[in-house]
Amino acid sequence: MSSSPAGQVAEVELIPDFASLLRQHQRMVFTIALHMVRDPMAAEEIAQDVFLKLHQELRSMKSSAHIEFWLRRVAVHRAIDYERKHRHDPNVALEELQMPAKEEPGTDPFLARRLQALVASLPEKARAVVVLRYQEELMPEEIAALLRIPVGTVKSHLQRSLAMLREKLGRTLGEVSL
Amino acid sequence: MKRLEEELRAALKREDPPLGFAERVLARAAAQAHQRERTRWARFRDAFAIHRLQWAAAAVVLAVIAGGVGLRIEQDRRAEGEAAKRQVMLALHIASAKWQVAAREINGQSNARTATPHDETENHE
Repeated sequence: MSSSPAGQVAEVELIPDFASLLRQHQRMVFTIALHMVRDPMAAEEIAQDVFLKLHQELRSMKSSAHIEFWLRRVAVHRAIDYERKHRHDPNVALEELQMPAKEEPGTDPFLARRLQALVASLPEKARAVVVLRYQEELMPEEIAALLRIPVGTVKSHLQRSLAMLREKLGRTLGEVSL
Repeated sequence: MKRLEEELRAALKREDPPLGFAERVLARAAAQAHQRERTRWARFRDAFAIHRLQWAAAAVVLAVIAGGVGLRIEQDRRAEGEAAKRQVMLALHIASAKWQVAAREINGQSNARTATPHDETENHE
C-alpha cells in the first residue's frame, strides 16, 4: 500500500553492481555453506558457484531483498546437493572441524566447536533450518518461504533439533546444563 | 533453552571467507562472461557450418519454387494476351462483316436511284 510518491520511489530500487553485492554478501553465503558442509574448501567452492549463478541471473533480480533471499536459498540448496554428491558420515569427529578463524571473547571455543559438530550431524533439512534460524536470525515463516516447506515443519524441525542437541551435548559434556 | 539458543548463535556466527575469495569470484565471473559471449557466436557459426548442405538445399528449393511461380505468372499473362487478341480479332471480323453489309445496302440503293429516271422516260415514250 505505498501509493505516496515516496513509496513509489522506494519501489524503484537500484540494484548494486555485482562486485558490491559480492562484497556485501560473501560472509553470509560462505558461512551458510560452511555450516552445511563443514569443509572450508567445499564451502568456498559452493559459495563461488552461488555467486557465479547470481552473476548470470542478476538481470532478473528485482530488489536487494530479493537478492538476499535468493542467495540464501541457492546457498542452502547447493550445499545440500554437494552433501548428497559427496555423502559421508554425518557424525563428524571434532578433529575434522576447522577452528574458527577468530575466537570471540566471552565464548567457549570448545562448546562452539562441539555445537558445530552436532549441527553438522543433523539431517540436511533440519540442519538448514537451524543454520537459517541461528546464523541468519530468520523467523520460522521466512525459513518456510525460503525452503518451500510448511511453517509447522520448520517449527517441528527446530524443536526436535534443539532437543537432540541438548541431549547429545549433555551426554558429551556431562555437567553442562543448557 | 534460551542458553542453548544463545550458544548456537555464537557457534553459528558468520565467518569471513578465505582471503582473495571475492577476487577469485570476480575473475571467474569475467571468464564466464567471456566464454558465454564466445559460445554464443560459436553456436551461431557452427549452426551455419553444420547445416551448410541443408541451407544450400533450402536455397535450391526456394529458387525452384520462385522460378515455378514466375513461369506460371508469365504463362497466365500470355494466355490473357492471347485471349484479348482473339477478342479484338473477333470484334474486327464482326465490324468488317457489318461494314460490308452496310456498304452493299448503300450501293444497292444508289444503283436503284440512278436507274429510276431512265425508266420514267421509257414510260413517257
